[in-house]
Amino acid sequence: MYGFIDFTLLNVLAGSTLLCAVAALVGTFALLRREALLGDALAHAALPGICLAYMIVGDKSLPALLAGALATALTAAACHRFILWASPLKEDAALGISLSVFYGSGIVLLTKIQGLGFGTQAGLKSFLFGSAATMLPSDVKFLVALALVVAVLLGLFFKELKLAIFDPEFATTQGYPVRMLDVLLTMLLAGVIVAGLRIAGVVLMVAATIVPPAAARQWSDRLGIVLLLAALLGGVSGALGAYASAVSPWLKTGPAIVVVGSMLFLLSVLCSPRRGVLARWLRERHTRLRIEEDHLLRDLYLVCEERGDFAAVVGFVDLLGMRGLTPGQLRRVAHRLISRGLLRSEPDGLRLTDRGIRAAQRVVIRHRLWETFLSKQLNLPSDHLHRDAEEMEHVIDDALLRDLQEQLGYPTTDPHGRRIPKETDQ
Amino acid sequence: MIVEEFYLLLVAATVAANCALIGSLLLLRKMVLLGDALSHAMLPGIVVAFAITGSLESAGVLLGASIFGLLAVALIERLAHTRLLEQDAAIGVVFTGLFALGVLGVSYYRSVDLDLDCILFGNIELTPFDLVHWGGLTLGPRAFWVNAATLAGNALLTTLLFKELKVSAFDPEFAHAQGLRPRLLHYLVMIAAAMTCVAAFSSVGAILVVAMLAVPPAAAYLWSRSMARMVVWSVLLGAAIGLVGYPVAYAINCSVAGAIALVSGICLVFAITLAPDRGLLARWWAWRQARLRTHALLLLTHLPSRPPGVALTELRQRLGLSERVFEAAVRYVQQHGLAERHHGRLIATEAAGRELADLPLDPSAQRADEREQAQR
Repeated sequence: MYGFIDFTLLNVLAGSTLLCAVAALVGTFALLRREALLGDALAHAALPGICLAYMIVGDKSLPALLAGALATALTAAACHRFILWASPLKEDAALGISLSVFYGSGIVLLTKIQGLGFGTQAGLKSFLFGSAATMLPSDVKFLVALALVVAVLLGLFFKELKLAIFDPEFATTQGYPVRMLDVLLTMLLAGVIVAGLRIAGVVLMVAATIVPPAAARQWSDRLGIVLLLAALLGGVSGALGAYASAVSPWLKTGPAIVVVGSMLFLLSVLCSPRRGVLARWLRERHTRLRIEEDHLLRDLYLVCEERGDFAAVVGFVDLLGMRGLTPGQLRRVAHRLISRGLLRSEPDGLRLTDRGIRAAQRVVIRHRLWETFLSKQLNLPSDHLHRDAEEMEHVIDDALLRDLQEQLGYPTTDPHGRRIPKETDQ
Repeated sequence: MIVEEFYLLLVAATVAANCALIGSLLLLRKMVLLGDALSHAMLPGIVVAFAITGSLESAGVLLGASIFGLLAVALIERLAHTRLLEQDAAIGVVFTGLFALGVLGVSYYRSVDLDLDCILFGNIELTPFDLVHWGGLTLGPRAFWVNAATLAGNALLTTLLFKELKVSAFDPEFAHAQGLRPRLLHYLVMIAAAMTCVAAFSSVGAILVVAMLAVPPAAAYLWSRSMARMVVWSVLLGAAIGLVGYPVAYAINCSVAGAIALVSGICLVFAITLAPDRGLLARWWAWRQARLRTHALLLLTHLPSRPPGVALTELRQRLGLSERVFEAAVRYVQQHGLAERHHGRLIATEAAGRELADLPLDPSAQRADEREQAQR
């Protein structure tokens, strides 16, 4: 008994993993062609085909239903392309039209089947919702064959497909059969979706073609890597979902797979090192903190410059007044600078250390040079200079600084007549 | 029986008009598939409401569906705003995830057998039997009032903010520069869409709603040149399709929602072929006219303006045109008074010279002419 259960579980695990990996492969191309939801329309368009096949053949033989589903799904894809070609309607409208009209005619056929006494239509609609838990060894064999076909075709035409999806115009001028490649990709997508419908249902198949590729896309800009990662993430979510549903019976396999996939997607969107939300937030935070620090250093420098004494202690009240900081903000910024050894805390204020003076000079030099540049080269009036320089002082790097100095002939004063310090000044 | 049929037509027309109105706003924002996505994304809200109230006919279900509809809209918008993926991919990721959560919820509360298809969606055939009573009066089907109320809200939104919606749909950057808030407007449209979908799904079912969101606006888009006309046409066409759907369903004895989707598909075929300016026929005709004129002008360039002119057979050989095309071009130049025919020979008129002079036939030659004139 135990062995039997294991065998069933193994079947479901292998089947789900394979199906999700293959769906992720074909879905990646759909995603990159900016038609991620084409699969949604194809999956819905299978319904009339299933009904027609049942009406013609008269029983629920699997090959007939699959052939019918594939036929109407491809017809819907053709309609979608025709609408795009024949009218100025956009992708989303064309998809919405094909989806609703095909699914609607499927509903019409379904009620006809009921009305004409073809017997029960219950099995037909469940075709669209799928039941992964009842995966048979024959299903797994079929999926292995499907995966092989898809992998071989994508591998054979990898270069051509890459060119055709990223630069179709160039591919056409190079003599690649772009139209045929488009047909190939659409057929693969329709084939995989129709093959998976009975096992996984409409929504899971849509999810399996969109979610893992969208997650994989966050980690790389290279097609090969995105494809492999998508297949990997798809496979992992398929396996984990199937396993979770085997462990706790109320977790249905299909939805469990989608939920695992969604988590992997969230993880990718949040944590991807370059494009991820967290990485972006950290970068922005770093910049914001640096701007605050630069501003405080420059404020201190200005006060000291006025007093002619860079070792002077500047009172908190003076600093608070300069740009309307709250005491809490000032304390936090000052604290960061003190811990970096640029400021020293005195009983009645703050004092620049030697390193702090040099750091403040860096900012002041950039600010005043930029003001000089705006005034001399762009002839801006002097009351327009400060705000722009306030932003540029943080982003001018050493190379740009040298260029600016050279261009402006190493100026010693800015447009307001204040001295531009030298880096070595003390 | 007649009253029930009247009620059904009333509901169909109201829902269709309402969806067509919101659909035309969505079409211009390239978000037509939002309707399909929302129909799935609302499931967890319905399950939660069912878990709390224990019934599927409470107002709680509507509330739960609305909350998750709005949540889906907000998630899609946030996700698309990060630019980490395209808007359609964001829609796909969000609705499949929420739907999966909903299905898991259904199987967790397996206390009743929830048919996914039925809990999600109403059935238009049943709407005439769910009536609103007030005092001793029967005020018509509940679905009518619910959808009429959302229709009124949507109509108000569209008329009050028409200019803003138009500018922000076609040129969000310009709208932003003008001090409008395109993102706020975008949210408003999506919220209106979500509320419309909740009202419509619960009364007539998803497929009818998705069809009415997509097809009448698309047909109206092809048919009209201004957004105002497009919205009005879309609403009228939606209502008409809603009205036609029921007799069709009755005639072929099938589901009303399916019949309405089918009728709308047929309407769209007509719109794609017959629409003025943007239809296939109109564009084919314009292309033919342009080709004919090109051939005629080509013919004029080979035509002497003094007698004896040129023989037709010789001219045709020189141009290398097929007989049919050549004859059409000859007819064209004669009808427009650009050439005259004497004894089988063709001579250009004065009008032909003027016509050709206006034409930048050879850009380099034209530039040479201009240089010459400038030197003089």
